[in-house]
Amino acid sequence: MRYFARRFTFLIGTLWVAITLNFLIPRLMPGNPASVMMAKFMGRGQPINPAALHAIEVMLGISHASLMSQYWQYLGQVVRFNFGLSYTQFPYSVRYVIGQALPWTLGLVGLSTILSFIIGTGLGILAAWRRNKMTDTIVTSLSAFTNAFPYFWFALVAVYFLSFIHNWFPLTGAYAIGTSPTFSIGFILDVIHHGFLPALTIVISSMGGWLLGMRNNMINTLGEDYVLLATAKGLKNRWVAGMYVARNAILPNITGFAMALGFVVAGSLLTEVVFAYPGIGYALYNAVINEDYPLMQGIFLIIVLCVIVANFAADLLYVLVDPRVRRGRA
Amino acid sequence: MNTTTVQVSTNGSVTPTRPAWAEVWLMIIKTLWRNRKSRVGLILLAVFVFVACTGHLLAPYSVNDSSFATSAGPSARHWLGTTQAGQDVFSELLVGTASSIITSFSVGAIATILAMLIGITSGYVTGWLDDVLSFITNVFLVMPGLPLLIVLASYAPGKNLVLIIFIVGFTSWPWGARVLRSQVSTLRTRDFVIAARLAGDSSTRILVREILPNMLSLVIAGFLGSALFGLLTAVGLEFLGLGDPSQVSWGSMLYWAQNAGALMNGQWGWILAPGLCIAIFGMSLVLINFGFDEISNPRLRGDNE
Amino acid sequence: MLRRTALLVSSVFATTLGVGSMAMASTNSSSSMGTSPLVITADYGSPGLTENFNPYVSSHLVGANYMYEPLYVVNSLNGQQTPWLATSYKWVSTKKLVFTIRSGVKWSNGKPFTAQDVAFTFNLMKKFPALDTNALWQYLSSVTASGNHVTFMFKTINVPDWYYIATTHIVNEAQFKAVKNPVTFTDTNPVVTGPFVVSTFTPQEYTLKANPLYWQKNKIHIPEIESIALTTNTITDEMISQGKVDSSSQFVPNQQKTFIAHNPKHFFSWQPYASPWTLYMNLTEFPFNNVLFRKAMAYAINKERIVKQGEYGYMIPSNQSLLPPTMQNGFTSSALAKKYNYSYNPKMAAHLLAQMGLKKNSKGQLLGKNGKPLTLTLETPAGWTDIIQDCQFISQDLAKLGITVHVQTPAASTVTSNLQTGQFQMVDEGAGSVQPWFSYHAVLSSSETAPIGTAAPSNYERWKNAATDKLLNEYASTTNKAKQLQAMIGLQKIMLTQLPVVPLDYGVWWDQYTTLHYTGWPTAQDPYAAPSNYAWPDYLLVLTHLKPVN
Repeated sequence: MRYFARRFTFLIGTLWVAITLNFLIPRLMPGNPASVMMAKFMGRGQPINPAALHAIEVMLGISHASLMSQYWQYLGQVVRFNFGLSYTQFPYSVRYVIGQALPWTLGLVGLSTILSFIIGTGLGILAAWRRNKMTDTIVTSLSAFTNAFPYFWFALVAVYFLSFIHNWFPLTGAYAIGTSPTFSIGFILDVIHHGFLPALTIVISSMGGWLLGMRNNMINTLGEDYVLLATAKGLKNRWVAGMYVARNAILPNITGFAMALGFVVAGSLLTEVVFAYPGIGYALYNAVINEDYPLMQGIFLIIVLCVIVANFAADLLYVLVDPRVRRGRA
Repeated sequence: MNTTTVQVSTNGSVTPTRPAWAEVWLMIIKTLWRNRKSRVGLILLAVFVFVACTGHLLAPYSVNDSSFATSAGPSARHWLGTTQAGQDVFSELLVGTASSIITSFSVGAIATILAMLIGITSGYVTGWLDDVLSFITNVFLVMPGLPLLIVLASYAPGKNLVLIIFIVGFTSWPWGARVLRSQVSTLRTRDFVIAARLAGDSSTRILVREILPNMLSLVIAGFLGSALFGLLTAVGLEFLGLGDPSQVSWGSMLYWAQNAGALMNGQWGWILAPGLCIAIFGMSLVLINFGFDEISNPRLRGDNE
Repeated sequence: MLRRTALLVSSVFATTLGVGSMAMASTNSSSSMGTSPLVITADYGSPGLTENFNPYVSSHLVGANYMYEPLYVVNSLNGQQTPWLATSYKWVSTKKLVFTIRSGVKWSNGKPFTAQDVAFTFNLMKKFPALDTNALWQYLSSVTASGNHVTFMFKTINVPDWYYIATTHIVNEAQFKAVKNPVTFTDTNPVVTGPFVVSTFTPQEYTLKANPLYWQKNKIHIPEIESIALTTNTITDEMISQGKVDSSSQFVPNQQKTFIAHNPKHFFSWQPYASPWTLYMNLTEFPFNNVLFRKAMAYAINKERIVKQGEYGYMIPSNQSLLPPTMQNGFTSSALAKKYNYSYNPKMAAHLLAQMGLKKNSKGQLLGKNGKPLTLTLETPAGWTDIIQDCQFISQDLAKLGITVHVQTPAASTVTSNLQTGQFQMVDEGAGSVQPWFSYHAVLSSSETAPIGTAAPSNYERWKNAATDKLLNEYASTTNKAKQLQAMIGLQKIMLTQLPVVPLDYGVWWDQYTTLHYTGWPTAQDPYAAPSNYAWPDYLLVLTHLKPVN
């Protein structure tokens, strides 16, 4: 229970730091985003009359109050998930824009992360099992390579070859142009067709980490006394590996996996940009290039929230799978 | 040989700490060279460092020379073609190696120094200071790196390499700090450290002479990890246009190539070459780290043959 | 290349996760029955479109321009006027303007269009100042309707403002009266007079269908417009090169090869010139406060290289008049332009700098007044890759004269804010406006400037000159064409001899189109409208010209 309370305090503390950073960064930087927004609302380079200026300020929630009172107001808004109105998609709210984008990211990146975890861990077990054999050498060297390449670059090349030259996959988007999202088989297949290539690039560039981690864990566990004992007792190798080694070696990877799920929302930003996938990462990128500050801040907070919650879940999971933690770290 | 056992054998004596440093370095280099993967990594890295130092001499043309035909494909005169502004892509690749590697290593250095300062302090002391430092580490650990960087970079007044290095460096230390902290808190209770403390050595002296040599491999491994992370993050930021587009580097080459529609134009070299350089340079760091895994984890040994 | 994103804040997206059915209106499936839809890309969907056709909200979809109509359509290239919802106008005095409204026009809901709707539109902007994005009520005192006439009374004389009045989107009184807050109204089901009405909407695409009640029905041969969201430039480039889009208006790198070469018989691009990209210099500081230095800049910069290597040959070097070539005719004197021809001449530039009394040190660096090497900064927004490239060329050109120029690329908002407050040395930015007088007024009028530290609306370089103000005023307070021309030539002369800013190269109206499904596009031979599909109000002319290929 104390452990739980401690982790919860950490969760709240981290959240507070993130919210405060989010509040302070734009206010500490030079330049005045608000005045630029005014410029966007003006048709020609004329000074808008003061009444118009004031109307726009009120509409966008631009405040001239003291920093402290602005901060309290901001905290109140954040608690209610009210991030104001988006500049570029005015008069739609930031919350609305995020709501539109979030499901796509959760679906695409979430699924790819799960796939990447399963494939990477599986190959890691294989590599450890066939240690120093041909399979191991190929698999580990390849993952050293895929671990190190810029995944957006891989995505660029993939789009060009597989979508533009060969037309095997759509160029862009999450579903066919001219269709509306529904829960029909046809639409779901269409979404899968559109998501395949982005997912592929995420899986290929992220599974290397799982693979190398799992391989090391396996090799470690293979050296543990109880495994040596089990072998000595005459258990068949395959049995030892399956039942003892992999099950124990996967523990650290599982908590890592819970963490990774939290980073899903943040992790695929560049992939979404390359594929123009209508998710949260692409929304953040567009908010940045169009200087849509409220949207930018809203998305950043949502991303932090996801990571923190996943981190908390990972901690809880750890307690469930490894009772030592409860006593050891509390 | 595990460094810890070397130290334990010297036990309480204070004098033989100096040779330990040399011994540690020698052991690291030996192990790295014995391991086939890290040997390949070291050779690749050496090649890149060589190109970084001599790139501007090796380059056939100046990167400021825009007198060539624009958007041309590969030819005998221009191995990787020319840019939309008429510069030689191959020359840019060679010259850009320096700033990319400097970015990578500077980020690694900043992150490692911060990780050491925070991680080692927090592991060595106990009580409130440890709690505070651990909290800060954990907070930064869960802060999503790229989005935070994008937000910071987009607000920043100017765009230049130093700025990118600093913001990437200052956001990529927590993982290393966490690893170092746990290592220090283990070492703190070892016999030889307790002995040194009983002998009246100062904390600084204990840290530098007793504890640090025993985690040198962890520190370097952390440095390589941060350097790889730094390179990939900086490249990502540059690709999004948040870097300094006037600075020739692998990341800014990709940015310009993408904006000039290099693939649509059939200019393979312009897109492929910088990407491959990033991947191979990054791979060399990962390969070297295989060797370090082995040093810090003896069970992984035997990977070489 | 991102400059369109930066300039045209469009793109919005909305609704319908889980709503609506599978409206399968697939791209260009030119069925043998009937005419295929006109497929365009005009709005950035980032990450998707948001449904908003309210013409007064800056983020409205471009489709609003194909549904709402103005009193007059004015050709953005040459100022040619076509009566539209009004049949004529008359300046009763310089303070009284009367439009005669067209009769027989119907709203898409079947109700008749009246002068009352026009008066309502303008008075709505008075009531909600945030809607008055062109600051019309800074000059107007009242707008009233009687019969088929609408009368505009001015409190300040401003004859050129006719343009902004004539091209205002006219809305339906009954519809907008019922809206509580028109500033945040998204107008998803507009009541319009124009050729199209909303049909379907998804975050990736919207379709408009022909308005059966349209008053020029015989001129509309397009049954449906399909507007696909623009995503990344690369992906859109790939789509247009496959012929999937009939009209697109964006920057396409090297389009001769990447677009036209894919089908030279049917793929075209006509990109006429617009207002110039211009070098703004801070006239309140040394050395920019010296006209000799500004002249040296005009001679020192190799504009030819900028357009060829920085801009893919899409643009041409601009002359010093600030007006686009199509506007110079009838507004400027070509003899003057010839006399003050600042073509690339580094020797002349060096001579002018020497004439200023600037000396060089042993390293060949030009020394400033304090004896230190002259080091200047040149800013342009991050992401505008072509302009950044241009700035690097400028930096190289000036280096040859011994001047060190640092190119900086902060965020667009920082550049704007630096320009407005005068905290800059040099900036490469677009200058000028839709019509000649507005261009000069924006850049040269002392009413558009402000002291350093205070935001100036558009006269960023801080040119303050009584003679200039007098000429601007003379033009604005007369309806006499000859007097107006005299004032314009006076202004041109100030540009040519004083060089408050140095125009570099003309911007262009981006344009790619195919003749696979439709013909009748504006071309160099028939420049009846600016070709870009975001051009308001020009594109109404294009839509009424297009004919399907049989």
